[in-house]
Amino acid sequence: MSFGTKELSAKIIHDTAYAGCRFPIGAVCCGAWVQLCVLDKENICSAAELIFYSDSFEAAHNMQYENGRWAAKFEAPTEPSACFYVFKLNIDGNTFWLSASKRPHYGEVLGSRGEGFRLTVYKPDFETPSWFRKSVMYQIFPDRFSRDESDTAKRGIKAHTKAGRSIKYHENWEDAVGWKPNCEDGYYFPLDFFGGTLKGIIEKLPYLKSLGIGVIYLNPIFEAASNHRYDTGDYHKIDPVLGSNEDFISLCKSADDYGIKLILDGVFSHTGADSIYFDKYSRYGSVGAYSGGEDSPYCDWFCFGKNRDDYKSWWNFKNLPEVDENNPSWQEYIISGENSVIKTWLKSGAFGWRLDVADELPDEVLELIRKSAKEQNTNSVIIGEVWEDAVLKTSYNKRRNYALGYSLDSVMNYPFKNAVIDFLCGRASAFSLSSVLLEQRLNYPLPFYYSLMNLLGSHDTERIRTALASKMSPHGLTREQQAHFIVSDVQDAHGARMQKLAAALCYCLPGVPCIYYGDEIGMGGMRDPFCRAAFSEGKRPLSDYYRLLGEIRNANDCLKTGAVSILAPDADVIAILRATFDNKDVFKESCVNGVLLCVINRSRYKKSFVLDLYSENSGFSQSELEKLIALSLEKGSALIGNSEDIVVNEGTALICIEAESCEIYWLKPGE
Amino acid sequence: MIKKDADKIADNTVEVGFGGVAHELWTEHGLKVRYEGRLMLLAEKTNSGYLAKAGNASGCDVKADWQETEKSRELAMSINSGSAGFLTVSYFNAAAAARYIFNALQGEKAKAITLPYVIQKADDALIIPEILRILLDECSDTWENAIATISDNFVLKPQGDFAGIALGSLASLSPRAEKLIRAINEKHCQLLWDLNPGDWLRISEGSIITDNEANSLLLAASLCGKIICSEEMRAGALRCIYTLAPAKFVDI
Repeated sequence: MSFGTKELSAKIIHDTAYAGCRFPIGAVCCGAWVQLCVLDKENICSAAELIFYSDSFEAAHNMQYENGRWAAKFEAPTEPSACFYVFKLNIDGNTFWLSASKRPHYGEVLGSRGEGFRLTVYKPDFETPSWFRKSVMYQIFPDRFSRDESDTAKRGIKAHTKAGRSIKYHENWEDAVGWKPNCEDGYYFPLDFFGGTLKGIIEKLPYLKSLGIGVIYLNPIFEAASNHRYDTGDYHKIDPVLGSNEDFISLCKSADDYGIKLILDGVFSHTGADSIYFDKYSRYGSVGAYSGGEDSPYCDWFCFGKNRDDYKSWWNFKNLPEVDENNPSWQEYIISGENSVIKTWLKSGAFGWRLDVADELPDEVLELIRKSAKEQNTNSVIIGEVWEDAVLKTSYNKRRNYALGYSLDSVMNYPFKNAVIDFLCGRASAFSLSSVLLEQRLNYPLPFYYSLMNLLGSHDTERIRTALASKMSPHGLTREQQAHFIVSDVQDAHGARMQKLAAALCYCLPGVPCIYYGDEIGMGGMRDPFCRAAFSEGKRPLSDYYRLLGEIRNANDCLKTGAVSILAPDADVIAILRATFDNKDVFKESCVNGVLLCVINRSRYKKSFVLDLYSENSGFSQSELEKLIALSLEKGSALIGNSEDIVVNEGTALICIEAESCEIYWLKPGE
Repeated sequence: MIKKDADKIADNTVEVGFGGVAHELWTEHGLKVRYEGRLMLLAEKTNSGYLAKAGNASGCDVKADWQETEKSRELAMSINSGSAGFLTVSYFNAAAAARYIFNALQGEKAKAITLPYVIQKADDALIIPEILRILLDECSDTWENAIATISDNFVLKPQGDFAGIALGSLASLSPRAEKLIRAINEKHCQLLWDLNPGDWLRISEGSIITDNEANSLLLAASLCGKIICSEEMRAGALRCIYTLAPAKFVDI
């Protein structure tokens, strides 16, 4: 018999999302038993071997043929690692390889060894805070969110000016952000302030509560020269424009009254050149490393070359001198000391840290941060800024382990944001989007996956409204072009419609949905600094819609920590099925049972199609699927959307959905 | 558009061909298929089905004609007596019905069957590749037109179990029908691929052909324009067709 590789791919099958091929599906703990199978109904192969490998080992396992499939069972490694595997097949005396295809959870037969299927192995004791997984997040850029009636901000501006900093204050909240070159070297330095304060945030807490917010992520709030404050001047002091350390404690307490927790932005890979640690401009009266040399207690934090102006700085930005994270005194000050930065602010009421450029911090340092934070508060959360797949990420010439239970609770989910925007802008199909989303479900450790910060934009990206309205990437545009970029009314209307779909996806997937301040009221803007305008309502606010999404999410445990199945019945339609069974969520915590189905049609046309809810390879484990089937769902009532009830028959649901719309159904058994 | 063909057969009978070789030739006018070596029988419509009769010899040679007529008579007798294989009888009945259906499509009132034709059992499913063969090979129809004609004129209303069709055995009865079933399956799998790119598991589960056997229910469902069945069948045996083309389905 003779087959081409494409014919063989149709007959010799491995699908990492299918329990008949892989048990269990998804990431596994160290030492867990795993069974991997290749379906070969026609017994085409005469032999099959599993090649299982990671960066540090490779092992072969013979496979046994029984009941139409080749199987191998083995124990996962005892060390957490990103692992891979391929199957070596003998067909008619020739060697073929069953490897991962372009949609990586599906396989394809090749004549040579291809990409491996992924298997993530993580620490068995890895846990993430339960409260965080169930929250909705709101990200605030503090200078631009809310002023208060007091003169806090103006006094702060005076303090900075008195220290010798040339900063600008926008009296008018509606002013455009500064972007033009304002330094001697011809570059733009972010020195314009709008005067948002911590008291201003307190005043907005009822508004945030109405959105269903459970956690606020604050961009940096420590004293710094710039308006973004990523150039930390003093880790132990709130920037005077924002208020005082007491204001922060007051904010934490007030937020707690509303059931809202705060996490802070930890910028630890570098400080500001204008800081007590470096003190390049001698503004602090401390003995900074720049001028103090060896007399400075901080001199070993930084790396100087031949002269004091030759120092290592973050991405060569001279105002951001890089620190040596392996330096013991730095570690003591920032992480492990009794009054370390990490611990101090947790003691003051914060509930966690978002670590700036986490991939630039060594694994050992990240582990220390986790240890210190969790010692101070076991329920604190550590989120990393990582822009790529967190399990596969390499830096420092090695694969990082921060997603395997050693350090981070989770990461900012930029791959999610990019995939959703590509889908809604028509650059990728629902099949591609479902593949990305399913890969995250399958490759991230479960606690990590359910803690992903699912954002649609941040202080570092264009706003979601602009991304969806313009459908273009601003990467090729100059600052001037971005400043003058105009989104037409028609485009904005389209962007608003698409933004609702994006938000629905965010709220219906596992992880923590995150609103970047102002997105909910229709603000637009290209990249930094245009995405950091003062909080003011856009032409087409969506606050009511976000409020409704927040209500639905907070009222339904299945949307928070229920099982997930990701379906793409059409190139323009994506559907997310969430479910909890037996009053237990995926973490075996008590919850209320429920099944919700979110369907999104991005197309300009109404669509009719049949959804197969009993799909065996879309994210549900075998037992979750069996429990879903046992529910005998018969109908679905719309919670969002205009449609009538849908009928479910043996797991098939005929759906009719309007153009550019979202429906969320609550599915239930017959009466 | 259906092209009329000359009718050389006596009243109330149609011709049915067995075996032989089909030579395909692509011309500037499309696919031309020429048959060689087929054994022809006649099918006479009766109240209870079709009666097989020896067919007309091809008229090349007296001795060859006699041998051919004898073979045809033997085959006809075995079909009528029931001693012929199950698939042979099924194919004969299906091919005869297909010819009558074709006559109806042509607008002929005599030797015609009422349309739309309702496929109710496994044997009927073989009508599909046979009518497709007639439309493509004898009328030089395009694939798209032929499929549309079938869709417009066939309804599936399953009664009882639908047995599989062994394609190896079918090939000896009608190599062209076997080939067309494979072509139907390829296009059906392509539709499955379009909806589930890369998902070989789903495609293999929804395939019309498995282990060289055609699922007669899926074969019929893939081309019939309307399917009347229970909700149970829709969600069960016809699940993949339901996800591909829900508009076809009418609930019982």
